[in-house]
Amino acid sequence: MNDANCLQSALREVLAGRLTPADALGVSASAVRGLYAMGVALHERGDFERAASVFRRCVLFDPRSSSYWIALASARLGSSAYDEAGEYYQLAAILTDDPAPLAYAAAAFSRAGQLDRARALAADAAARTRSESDLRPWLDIVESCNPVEGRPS
Amino acid sequence: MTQNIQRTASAAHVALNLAVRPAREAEPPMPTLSLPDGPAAPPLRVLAELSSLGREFSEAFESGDPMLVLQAAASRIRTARSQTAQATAQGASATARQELHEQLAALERAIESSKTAGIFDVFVKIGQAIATVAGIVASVAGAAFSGGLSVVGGIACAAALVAGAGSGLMQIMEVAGANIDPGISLAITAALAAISLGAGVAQAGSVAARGAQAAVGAARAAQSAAAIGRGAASITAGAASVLQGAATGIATGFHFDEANHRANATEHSNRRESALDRQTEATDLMRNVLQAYQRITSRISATLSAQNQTTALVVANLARA
Repeated sequence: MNDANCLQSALREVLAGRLTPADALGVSASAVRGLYAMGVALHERGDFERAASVFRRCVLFDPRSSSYWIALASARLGSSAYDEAGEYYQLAAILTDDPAPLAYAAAAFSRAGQLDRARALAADAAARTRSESDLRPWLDIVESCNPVEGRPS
Repeated sequence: MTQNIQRTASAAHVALNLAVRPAREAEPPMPTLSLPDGPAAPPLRVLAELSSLGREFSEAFESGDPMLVLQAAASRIRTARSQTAQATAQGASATARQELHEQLAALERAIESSKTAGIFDVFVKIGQAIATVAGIVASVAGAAFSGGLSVVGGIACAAALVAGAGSGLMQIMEVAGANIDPGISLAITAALAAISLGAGVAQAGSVAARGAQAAVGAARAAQSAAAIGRGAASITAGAASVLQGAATGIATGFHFDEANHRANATEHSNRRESALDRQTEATDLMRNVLQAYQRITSRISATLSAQNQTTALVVANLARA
């Protein structure tokens, strides 16, 4: 197999989701999970900047994991980077059928002042969830926002 | 900020485990972070594995420049590929030698059994053994030349990242052909965006999310378009914008392709030399097998001759009797 064919078939593997960049770099899945656990420990200690740095590595190693994107979003939320957190939550929502990340994104965007977007996402999450009460803490954030200032009332 | 993040080892997705930290006023609550499926390596092993990526990779990551990360990753993959090829050749050679010895021992046993078994059975056994040994040699050569999955994946990663940074997702999709998961490919490009620190990330991520949302299905795309309220965005535009946002300034002074070509040429030359070495080794193995076969054949001839003499002697004795 020549290099071109090798590249072509390999691209299919990555883009079809059968291979992760971690696989390609020779980093084991357990090591990526261990790295994630280290990030969670930093997050628990309130060291959100370092946690985000760790979670960024996690999403590079395995961008298919919605959990890693959610963790990165949460770390950025902890640093009050609401816009960024909302984007990452929304990206996590793409990778899972669970509507919860949509609700997280809605709450983050509402805090960032993007109220139209926040409300639409909240409505989307509420329509798709089987248990709205589970998402209520985040939906309430959106519903309580002041439409003028973009801050919870 | 009060923390009540619970880490669990359950397989449940984060979103399914919605223990909520008591939210301070005006702050969105954080979901509980749980560990995904599978065992997690302890910190020392994690650090050991990551350090094996090399200082170049670590420094690139710390820089926050996604293109440096790509270059380091590509360099790492090339190195890994070379090492993998060497390890494959050495491992395959050792395995082949071991199996060859076992098969030759089986031939010796077949010779011994010729004292009690029929000559035809002996030849069948020897033929099977020779075929097995020849198959082993052929499979070793094939494995060494074709490479393994990790090599393929490594190239894929480098190609996906580099091609994505250079020309956008559409080119990747054209190269890769069908069966592409838009969510995953967007996640990969957005992962690059996430590496980059600064205000550009949120903007790039926003476009990526819109593009991906538009790609994951008509119904969902419609919801997303409404949710975002900024119109539909194509997946290609989304990916391209991600890369523009994440990799600002990449194009300037970037000669990765040229360097990559030079590296590929060198690597190709090395591979040819390595392939020649393996061919020579395989030839030696086959020569050993043939020599063993000749020895066995001559021993069988000697056995046949002895049997004939015995038979002649028995016939003569019978005649005399």
